[in-house]
Amino acid sequence: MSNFLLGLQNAFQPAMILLTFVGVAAGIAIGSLPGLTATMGVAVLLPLTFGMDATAALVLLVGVYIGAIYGGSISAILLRTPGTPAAAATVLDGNALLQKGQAAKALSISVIASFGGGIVSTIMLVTLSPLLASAALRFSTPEFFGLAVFGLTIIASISGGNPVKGLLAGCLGLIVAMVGMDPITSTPRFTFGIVKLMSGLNVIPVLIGLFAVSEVLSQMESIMRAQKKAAKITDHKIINRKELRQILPTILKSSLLGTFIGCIPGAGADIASFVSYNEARRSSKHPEQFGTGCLEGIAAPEAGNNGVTGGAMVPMLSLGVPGDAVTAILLGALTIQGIQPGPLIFQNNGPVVYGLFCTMFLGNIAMLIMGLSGIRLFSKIVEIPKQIILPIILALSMVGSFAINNNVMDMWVALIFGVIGYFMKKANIPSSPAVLAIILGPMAETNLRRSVIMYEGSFRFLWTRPITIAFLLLSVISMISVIRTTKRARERSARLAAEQQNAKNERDDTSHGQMEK
Amino acid sequence: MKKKNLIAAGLFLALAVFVWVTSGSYVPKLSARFSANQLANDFFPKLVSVLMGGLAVLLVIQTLHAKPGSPVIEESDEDKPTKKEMLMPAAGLALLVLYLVLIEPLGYVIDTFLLCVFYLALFRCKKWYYYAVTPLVASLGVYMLFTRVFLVILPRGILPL
Repeated sequence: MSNFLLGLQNAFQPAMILLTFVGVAAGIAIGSLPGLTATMGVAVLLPLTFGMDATAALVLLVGVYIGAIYGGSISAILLRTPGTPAAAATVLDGNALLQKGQAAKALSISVIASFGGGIVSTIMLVTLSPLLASAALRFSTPEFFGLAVFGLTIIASISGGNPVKGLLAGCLGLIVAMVGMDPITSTPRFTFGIVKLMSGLNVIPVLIGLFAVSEVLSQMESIMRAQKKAAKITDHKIINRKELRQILPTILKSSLLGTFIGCIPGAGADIASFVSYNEARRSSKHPEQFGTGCLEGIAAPEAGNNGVTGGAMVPMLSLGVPGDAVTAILLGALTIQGIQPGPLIFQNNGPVVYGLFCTMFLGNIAMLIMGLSGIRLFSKIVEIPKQIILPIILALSMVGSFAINNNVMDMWVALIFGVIGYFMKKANIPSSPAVLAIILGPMAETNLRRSVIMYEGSFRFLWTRPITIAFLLLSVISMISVIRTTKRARERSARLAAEQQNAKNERDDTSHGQMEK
Repeated sequence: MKKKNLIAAGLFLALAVFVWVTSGSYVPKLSARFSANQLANDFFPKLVSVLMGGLAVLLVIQTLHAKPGSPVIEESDEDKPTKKEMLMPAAGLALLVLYLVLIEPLGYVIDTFLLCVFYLALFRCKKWYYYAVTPLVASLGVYMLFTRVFLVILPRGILPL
């Protein structure tokens, strides 16, 4: 208890509160810029913390982490360009709601869901750290393969009207993910002798190309028309109480999912957001509304990805194993401060750990305040004329692609995938499945092949490991659910088309009758 | 949409065949003891290529058998671009290719400034302040933000920044 009070005292000093707000604001700015990820933001600010004490360093870095994961959704909703890969699933419904003129509602759902995800995961971190860490540590390569397969089944549910096209885009993503060194034998694949392709294609330039560059190219078609009718936000209202009650169960469920996925080392916020989106769609009473600006479709990925912030801290603090790339840097920051994460951290550095917990609560509150108060300002971006915003998006996209490895080739990658994304859009093929496959493809392949080696050339792990079986069963359930939903949606649209045709025929008959009279 | 579906299916099928054919050449020569217990590194590419080929064929069948009004071939006529409007992304793409070719010799600031000016001209902007603000924000503003705040080194080119 004394450690908790000391932590509370540390975190609630005026200077620490200020530092939390600064960290969260910096995180939001970093996250909302395409190409700058939470990992990069934390890494960039790490040297600034060398001269600080442990609590102050963690306050700043955790603030950036929380802010950046949320910040990615701002550009995903407003510009259809996810600021971070974790916000790729938010594009689907967030941008669709913006197209209906309800940017303020989309942004408010995003910040409230992110806040919910952050708070739930922090509560789980405080209360269930050892339990969650031990469950997550039961994940070995076969379980990771199961998780990746489950993740890949999500492709079908984010495919829009035609799952075949979504699955084709997913296959394209899997092929893109194979470029580079083979994960087991380290021989080059699909590199065509280009040395720079040896390390594979980074997901960020591909994502920027598929979402941002392709969107700019598509917008160019209508730019002359857009000059006549500028984009307008027709509804400045944020989410109301009834809608909040409606999305609350989704936020809670996605937050718990995100927290659990965050606990699993190697499975980060990007996977959590897609898994949460899929689960929300699967369990929804109106799955056909997903992708059309559905409120739950924004809440689920945002609660899921911010749920990871607390979840990823669980193995880091209790076992010294980072849950994702950001917590790997935080682990480094703790070590620099002379703190050794692991089971003894609560005894040896209690005030710092409890200070971190308090900071996470405070950071999420800061994010909620800044997110809600910034909605009007953020919404203004949509009202900027397209002629101004398109070149700026392109400049940010190019510089964001370059920033990942300081490499001009990544800009070319963004351009090539921009063209691919443009033609995919023309053929009504969704881009999100390709991005999901690029993230999950290497995880699926590496863990499948490692599992086969582990089981001496056998596929026995598919039916002998309970967690793997559970994930594979979930994948089957997910696929069946998507097939049923698509079938129902097709039947409904066919019925609607027939009704419209009948009504048209009746109208024609009546007008013919009147003419004859 | 029918034509577009068939072209897309053809391209995916061609890619699937390409992946199947080339993936065999990436298999390293391993000892029999080592390779007996593991999947070859062309296993996954071949699996994906079979899946992709099958899906491409399925798309062709789906498209050819689709009834009028079906979502598989339905395309909204609303906001369909004219041929003239379709030239805009082509011109934008050409400018972007030129931009990437010149980014290292000219540097980020000058290259981006010029790209923005050309884009504004392409969009037939008549307001002078668009030409003053947009290129400056996108070039110098973004350059300062990334180099000074996020410590990302961008191509300097001929400017001594």
